[in-house]
Amino acid sequence: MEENQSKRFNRWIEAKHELAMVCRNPMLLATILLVSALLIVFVIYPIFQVIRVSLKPDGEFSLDTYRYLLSQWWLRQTFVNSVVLGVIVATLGTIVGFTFAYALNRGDIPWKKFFRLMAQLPIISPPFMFCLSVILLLGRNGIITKQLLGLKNFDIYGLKGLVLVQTMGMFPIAFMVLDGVLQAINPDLEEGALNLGASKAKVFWTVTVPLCVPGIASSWLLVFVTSLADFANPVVISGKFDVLSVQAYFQFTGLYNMPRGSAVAILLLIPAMLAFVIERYWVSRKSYVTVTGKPTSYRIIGPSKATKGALLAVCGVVSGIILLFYITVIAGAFVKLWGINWSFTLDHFKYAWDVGKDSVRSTLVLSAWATPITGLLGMVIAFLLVRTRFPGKNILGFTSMLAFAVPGTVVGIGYILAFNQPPLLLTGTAAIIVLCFIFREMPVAIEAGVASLIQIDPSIEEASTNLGADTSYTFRCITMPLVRPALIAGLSYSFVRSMTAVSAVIFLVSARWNHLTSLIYAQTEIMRLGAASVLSLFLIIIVVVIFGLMRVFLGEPVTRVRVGN
Amino acid sequence: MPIEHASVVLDRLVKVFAGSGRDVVAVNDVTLSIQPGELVTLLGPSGCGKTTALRMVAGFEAPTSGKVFIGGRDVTNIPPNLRNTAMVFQSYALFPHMTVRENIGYGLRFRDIARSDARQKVERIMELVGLSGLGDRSPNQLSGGQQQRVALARALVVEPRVLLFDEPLSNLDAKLREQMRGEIRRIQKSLSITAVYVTHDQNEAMSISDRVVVMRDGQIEQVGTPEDIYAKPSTRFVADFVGKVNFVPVSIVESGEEETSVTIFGRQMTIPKVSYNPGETHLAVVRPEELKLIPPDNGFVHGEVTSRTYLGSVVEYDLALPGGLTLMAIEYNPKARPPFEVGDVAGVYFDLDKLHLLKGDKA
Repeated sequence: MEENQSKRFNRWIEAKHELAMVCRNPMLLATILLVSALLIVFVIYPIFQVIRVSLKPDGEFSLDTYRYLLSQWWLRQTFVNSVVLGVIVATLGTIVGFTFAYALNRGDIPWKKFFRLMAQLPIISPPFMFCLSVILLLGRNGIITKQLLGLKNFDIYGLKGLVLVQTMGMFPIAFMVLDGVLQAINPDLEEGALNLGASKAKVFWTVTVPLCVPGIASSWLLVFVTSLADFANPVVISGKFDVLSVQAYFQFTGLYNMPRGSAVAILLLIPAMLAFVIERYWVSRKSYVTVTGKPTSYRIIGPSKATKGALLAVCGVVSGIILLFYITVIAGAFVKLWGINWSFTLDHFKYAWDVGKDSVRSTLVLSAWATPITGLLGMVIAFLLVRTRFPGKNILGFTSMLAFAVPGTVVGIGYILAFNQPPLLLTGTAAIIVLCFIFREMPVAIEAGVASLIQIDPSIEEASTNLGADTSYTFRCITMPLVRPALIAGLSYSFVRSMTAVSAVIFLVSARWNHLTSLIYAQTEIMRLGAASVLSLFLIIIVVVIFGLMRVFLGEPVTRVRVGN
Repeated sequence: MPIEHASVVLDRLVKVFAGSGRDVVAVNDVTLSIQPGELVTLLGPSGCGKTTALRMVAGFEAPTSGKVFIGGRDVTNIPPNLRNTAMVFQSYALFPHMTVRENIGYGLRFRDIARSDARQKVERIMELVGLSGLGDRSPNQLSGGQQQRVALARALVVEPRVLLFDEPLSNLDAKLREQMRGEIRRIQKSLSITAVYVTHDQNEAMSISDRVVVMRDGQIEQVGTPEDIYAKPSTRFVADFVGKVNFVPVSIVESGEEETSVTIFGRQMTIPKVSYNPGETHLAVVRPEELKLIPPDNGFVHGEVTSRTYLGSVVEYDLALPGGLTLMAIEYNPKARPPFEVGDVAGVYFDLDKLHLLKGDKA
């Protein structure tokens, strides 16, 4: 009891001293206050608004909206559908991701570089692109279903189509996590087990897999959250298989039922948050491997011929599907009317340029604003989290990473609700979209920054302070040059994500500030698949060009970044 | 290079780190006064609080309670960049994106110095530490010893009021370490800068310091000159930490005018007068080099040699005494003496005139 009290007392003193330290450093204090204010306004407040509107449908506190949601079987079914889809995709995605990671790190297979590229390509692929391809391949006029197999009543819309596109689109998340884990497991452990007399299969099941378990759990949860939050795929291909993100969108923008749209969004938020919190505060702490950035010596125990063949087969098939998706979209851009008139045409390009040039411009402008701000702010927050101590730091860290967990649908609704009146009347402006990008993509920049700061000896910055530099000078002249690779990685990814964002931005676009992805969605909806294909190509080309330019002008990003959606 | 001599005073310093399970008291009520121009070492095992104490002088940690004075001024609430201390870090902490010259000149950017003067200062200090001609290299093109010199030069060039060393030599190999500690001492003396030096290496502490502060569990065990610390340790911990040691129980029988009669190894003997009461038993600190191995019949006691380790300049013996006690003896110039082999019985003798008894540790 007494000890407890003195502990609390000491912690209080510690907090007081931290506060005193911070107050002696006005620049640092100002930064912390500014960052906190931004996070409160642009992360917390919108979410709070969603909750408030769902609980106060008519200005009075009431649970009616939720009572309604739970009483309607089709809404209950929507919830179940979302979770079922998440579970299936998380499981399949993790299996495929693990297979790729194992094959590339331990499998001794050929064409490693090609497979690695294939396992990362879906991350920079535009949304809608995979479902567009799936419709072109397997839809009612699909080249496989109709032309090759002659099926009349095959219906790709629904769960099976969703599982296909989401698994292909999201297994890279699992791959990147597990790739890191497998790289960090010292092959000596596996060799040691082999040396002690275990068979190769036994080594795999008793050494490799157990060491990967936290990584596997982590990937599963991340893919689950991503699938749950996905809007682009289900809105196109879910058919009668209703999911929460789409339902919230239709309730909110289609039926103008803001309380019900908000409440559905909250139903989406709860499992997503749960999975995120479990991943971050439980699973990732159980990890056996620490990523040191030091590559372990590259020796591998070759797997048996049969295993190698199986690994190669899975990677080959998956990569083949991804390539096929790309080829299909390219083909779709040049074909007059898919499934009916196969003649070559450039009409889609002309049409797409006519309807899309404004969107291309505004998408570029919006991303160009958001990218550097995201990178810089992410780095500042990473610096605060890793290098400084102040009371409330953990809360700031949690809040800044929250956007990882909050589905875009919730953010979009929150931004509409939060910023539609003075003093923050932002609806219809570019600012609301840029802000949304910044705070949604910041976690990636923060993670990249944290990962690289942890590897920089803190005494390098202490030396600078010790010699007379203040915190901001040290940050500019010492820290920033040293974390440049991470900064570039953060910039590249936030740019890609700005270019390919859908779920939140679809609520925020306006006639003046449209986004390419929402235009692609509109074209897909009216079944102008050719135009949608062309617009997707535009997006791919822009992303690849800018990605390349950034590497040329800013250098090679070295740090591995984890990408969520 | 005239450098203002500054005293350093730690006044009842306490640092508690709030751990997730329990709080850790890293520094527990440390009071220490360092004279201008003095080099004081904080010596102790890892986790004894020596580095935390140093970091509080630099201002990297805020004390939970207590004060730090530099040159008579209370700096407890002064941020590190305004304290004008200069630290040489264990990892050197050189800026990898700057050349040697830029590294050394970095601190001068924040001082009111004309650019040409600054350039001169950098050249002069590079000469002083033996880095001439390496100014345009990048730190990762330098050897460990050269990096160490850059770190030292970078700290010296700003003419700090206090020079702080955080285990600066622990990344160097043994030979270089000895050479560098000589140089650090030479430069510190010639500039007569106040310096606080943290190390866990007792040889380093002995060879470099004006005074040594032995720390344990956040507290000071003993402060004294290297000679005091080694020959007259005040606690068993200090005796054990600075060098190898035998503890021999000494029972006080009675004290006379100038002599005290005691029992050692069951034999009645007399030693110069000590102020302990009859009936008490205290531990005598006998360094292995003080123990002489002689033929079995002549010593105070005899024991069986259980191991004999030949190290070139010395031979180390372990002896098992009949009562269960073990002793360690070191013989210098081993060739000159008849060697004892494992299994031999040897007599033990040591000089009773310089016997140092520990105060608190009653056996």
